[in-house]
Amino acid sequence: MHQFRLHEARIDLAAITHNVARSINSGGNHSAAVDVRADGYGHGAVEAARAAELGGAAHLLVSSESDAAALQDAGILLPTSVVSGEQPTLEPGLGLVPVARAYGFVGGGDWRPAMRVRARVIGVKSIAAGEGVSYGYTFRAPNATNLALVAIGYADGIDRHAGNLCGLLLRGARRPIVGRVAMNALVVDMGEDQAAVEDVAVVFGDPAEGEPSVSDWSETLGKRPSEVAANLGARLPRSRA
Amino acid sequence: MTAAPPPAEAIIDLDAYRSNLATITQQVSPASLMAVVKADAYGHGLEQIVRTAVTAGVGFLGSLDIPTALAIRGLDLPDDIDVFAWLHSPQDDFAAAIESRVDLGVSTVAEVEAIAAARVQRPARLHLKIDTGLHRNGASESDWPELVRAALAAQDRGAVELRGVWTHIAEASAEEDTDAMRRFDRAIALAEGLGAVFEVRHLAASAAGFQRADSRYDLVRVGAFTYGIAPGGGIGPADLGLVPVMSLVSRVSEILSHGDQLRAVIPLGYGDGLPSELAGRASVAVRGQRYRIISVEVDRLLAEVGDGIAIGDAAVLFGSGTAGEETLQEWADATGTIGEEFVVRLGSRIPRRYVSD
Repeated sequence: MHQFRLHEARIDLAAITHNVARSINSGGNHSAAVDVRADGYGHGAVEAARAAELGGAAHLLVSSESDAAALQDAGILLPTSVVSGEQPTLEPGLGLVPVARAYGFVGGGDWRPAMRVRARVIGVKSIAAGEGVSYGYTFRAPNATNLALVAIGYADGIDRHAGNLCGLLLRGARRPIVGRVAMNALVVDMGEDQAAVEDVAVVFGDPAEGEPSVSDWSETLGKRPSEVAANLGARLPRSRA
Repeated sequence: MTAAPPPAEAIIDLDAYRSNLATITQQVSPASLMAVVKADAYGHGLEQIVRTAVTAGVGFLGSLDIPTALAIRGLDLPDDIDVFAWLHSPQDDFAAAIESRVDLGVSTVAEVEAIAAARVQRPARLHLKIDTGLHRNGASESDWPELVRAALAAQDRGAVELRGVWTHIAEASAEEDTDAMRRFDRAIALAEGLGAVFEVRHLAASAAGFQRADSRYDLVRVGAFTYGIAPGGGIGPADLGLVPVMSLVSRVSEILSHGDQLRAVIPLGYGDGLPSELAGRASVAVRGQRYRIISVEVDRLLAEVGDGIAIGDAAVLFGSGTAGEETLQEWADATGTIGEEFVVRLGSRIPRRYVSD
């Protein structure tokens, strides 16, 4: 059963542990730092830090002293460094587990994605050729088609530019988002297929299971996967796999 | 260890919010205003915004969902304040919503039945939604009679009370909005023919409600404009007599030399909800001057600056424009979005500070 109310980011902490251990093993025997800025890139800084520690991380990177203190308050004992920018300067002897590896943003090579974003279908309908969808009618159906309304929108971290550009996995296929993404919902085009209320759509998850990857989104949107994940993870209710 | 100052704060001008409410109330009169406070009052903070709206005389609040509606009821407001929730999960506590006199928007017979099945003493107050062309939720014209009949049957059993009828329009063109209004009128007439009586009819949101008298019916649902967020496309808040409510203020934390260029570091980044597409398209104001943002990184952004600025200077990212900064409308137009996207995305760890004379 799907326990979430309308949408969630499910975090697989074992994937972070696995990825960190694998990165350390493949990178020699230096002491490795894991970057948990941006609330662990949307995965939860405390949880990501614990998972990284289990994977052998020796050090954590944070954005501020208060973020470091928050980790300490949560019982994380690893040393932290306050850094800023995309290529932080590290202490000598400290190696960095790349963010894309730690959180599994990279596909293949046994890196496991740590975030899966899903949302419920809350409405379905059929429209005739020529009818428009969502604000401004930026999509008009070329043919009669079936639509599904999915309960996730830009307030939840979906980029508004994803309208008419990105897609969700629903009923076994990639379904394009049609029309503008609204604050709390978006519409996907099911074509000849039908969705049902209560269905669950995958925004991104594990490409090994046929789901879109966070990189599919970031490449289409022209931004970093870390930004896509941080946005959604910050806004959505999070659960643990 | 002393607590470091936060990297930024969002200053919420409650006088500006009150001024916008007054402007909009006057503009939409004799229709009433529903102040929309979904998404944590568009990132402005639910509690303060709700209290300010109610004190200013707003009688109807739009919450989006039941959890938010119950949070509003938890603020112990006067009993006659109406709260409207319309996006439901099957897991929602309909009984609690009905007990708390939350008005519920419904689009399907299944929703009517789920609500009618809640075991409570008082009837649920329903607003039936017709799809007039937006094709999100709302009953299609072909499903409408069945929805109305189901609601009337539940009303006869005492489980619900029909209170409103509503829709959303696309604002694609004036003609298409007019078509949507005629579909709305037909749906109302059909429902009335079946025996429905509606106390409140509502269709318009910010833009249409502000501009078109014929779109206002009894109630106008306004979110963006109450926060001083203009529709964009060159139309700014001042053009509508609105004042931006939120300003995002940070400071210069470092100044870097890059060749013969100076770059100011502002300690806010995409981890705080600022999108990377601001780079090269938007600016930040320091000492009344605008400086182009050249990159947005995880926890900082860089702006190309000239001489005469110092570490510690206030850096205003967006606001009302009075300190030389851009408004959300300018940010939105420059990056191909709308002002709402910035404020709802702004990180919850950026403190909101409320100011009022």
